[in-house]
Amino acid sequence: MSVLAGIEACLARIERFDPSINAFTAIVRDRALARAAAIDAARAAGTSPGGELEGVPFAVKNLFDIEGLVTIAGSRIEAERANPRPAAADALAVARLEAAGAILVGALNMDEYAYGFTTENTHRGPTRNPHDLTRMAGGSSGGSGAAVGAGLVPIALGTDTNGSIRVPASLCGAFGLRPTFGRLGRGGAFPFVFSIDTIGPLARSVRELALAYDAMQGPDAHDPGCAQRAAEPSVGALQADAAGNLAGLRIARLGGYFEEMATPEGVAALDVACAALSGLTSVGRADWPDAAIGRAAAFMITAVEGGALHLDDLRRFYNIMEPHSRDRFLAGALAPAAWVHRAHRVRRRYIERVDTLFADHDILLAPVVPGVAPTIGDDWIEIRGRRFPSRPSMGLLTQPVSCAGVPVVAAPIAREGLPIGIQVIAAPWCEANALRVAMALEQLGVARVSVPAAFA
Amino acid sequence: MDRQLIEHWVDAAAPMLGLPVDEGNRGAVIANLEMLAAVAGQLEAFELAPADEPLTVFRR
Repeated sequence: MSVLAGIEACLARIERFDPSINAFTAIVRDRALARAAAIDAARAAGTSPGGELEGVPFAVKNLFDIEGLVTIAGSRIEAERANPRPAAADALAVARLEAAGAILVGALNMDEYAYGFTTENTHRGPTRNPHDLTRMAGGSSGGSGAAVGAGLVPIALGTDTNGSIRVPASLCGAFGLRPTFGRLGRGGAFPFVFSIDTIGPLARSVRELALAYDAMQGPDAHDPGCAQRAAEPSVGALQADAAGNLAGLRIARLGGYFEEMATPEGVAALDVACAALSGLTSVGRADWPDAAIGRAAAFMITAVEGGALHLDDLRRFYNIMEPHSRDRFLAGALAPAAWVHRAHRVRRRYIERVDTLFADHDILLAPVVPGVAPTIGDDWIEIRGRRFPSRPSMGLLTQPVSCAGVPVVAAPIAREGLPIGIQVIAAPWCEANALRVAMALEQLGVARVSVPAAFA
Repeated sequence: MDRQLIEHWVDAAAPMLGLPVDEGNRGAVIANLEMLAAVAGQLEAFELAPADEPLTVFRR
C-alpha cells in the first residue's frame, strides 16, 4: 500500500468514527496528504530515508504548535484573543516525529490548559471513552487516549504533569510513556506547570511507543527545563524475546498507599501483571516513601504555578474560562507564596528519598488510576468505601510518581470489561527498562490495546 | 485553618491582584483555597532541614 493510500484510509476512519468519541479538534488533511505524496515520490525516486515511522500517522494534543493553526490548549481564550496568531512553526516534538517520517493528521481535545483528568471540555464537548461512550476518556490528554484506544491513530502525543498521559492511556486502553522530567524538549508546547510538565507519546504497541519516544529525544535550545542530554535510543533494548530477557531486573510491586488508594479492580490488574512477571523473574514488594506528601507537593505546585501562569487570563477572560477549572486556577493565584515555596522544598527532599528506592529496585509496579473510567459528569468516585471528588482524585496514584520526575510507562492490562492500566516505573533516565518490562507484558498477552468492536 | 480567615484572605487579596471574585464564584474559590490550606498543613508537618532547598541551576 502506498503511504498516500494509508493516510487516506486513516483520514476516512477519523471522519467515520470520531464523531462518536469527539477526540479530534482539527484535521490537517491537505498537509497530511501532501506529505504522504512526497514520501511516495521519494520512495519511487529511491531517495526516501525509510525507517519504521515512515508514513505512520499521528495526532497531537491541541497544546502542541502546528504551523498555521492557533494553539488553543483546550481553551476559547487562545482562539478569541484580539489578534489570535497561528503558530509560525511546528512544536519541536512534531517536527522531530515528522523528520523521522511520521505524518501529522490532526489535533486532539484536552482539558482546558491541561488542568483536569477528565477531558469534559465545556467548549468542545467531552471526549468519550471508546470502550463505553457514556464514560470519561480521562485527561488531560483525553483526545490522545481516545484516538489511540479507538484505533484512529497508532501514535498520539500528550503531556503529563500529574498523570495526563497515564490516566487517559489507562482508561482508554492505550500504552503511554511519561519520560524522565527534562528528557524531552517542550519547545512549542503550551505550558501548564513548568517545573513538572513532561511531554510523551501514547501508542497502540510498546514498539511504536519507543519509536516515537526515540524520535523526539535530543536537546532543546528553547526549553530551559530540558536536560540537553544526547539521545539514548531505547528501541535497541527491546528484543524480540523481551519476556525472556528480564533476568537481572529487580522488580517490585508497590504496597501501602498505592494499594490503599486503588479499588479492588485496580489491584486485580496489578495482580495479573505481577503473576505473569513472577514466572520470568522474582517480583518483590516495596513501599514508596511519603507518597501522600509527594502528591501534596505536586498539588500545591500545580495550583500555584498554574494560577500564576493564567493570572491575566483570570482577570480578563474569567467568564469564558472552563467552569470545571477556573476557580481552582483562581484559588492557586491567591495562595500565599510561602505555601508553594514550602512545596518546592518538600519536593526536593522527597525526590532524594524516592531515589534511594532505586538502589534496590530497577522497576516498581503500581496501578495507574484507582479504578475504571467513571461516567461522564460523575462528581464522585468511591475507593474502598470512601468517597473522593472525581476530578482531582483520578491523579491519586500518578501524582506521587510524577512529582519525583521518574520515567513511567502506562500499560493497559488485558481483561474483560473496561480498560485499566498499571504503571511500570523506572529509575531516572532508565526509560528503556520500563519499556522492556511493558513489552514483556505485551508479548505475554497480559498487556494489550484492544480496539472495541464498534471501531473495527 | 479557620474558614473565616480564608474568607477574609480571599476578600482582601482578590482585589489586590485584580481577580474577579463575587457572589457567583466566591464559595468555590474559598472551598478550593481551603483545600490548598489543608495541603499546606501537610507540607508544614513534613520535617525539613534548612539546607533542603530546590536549588535552581542556571545554565549560561
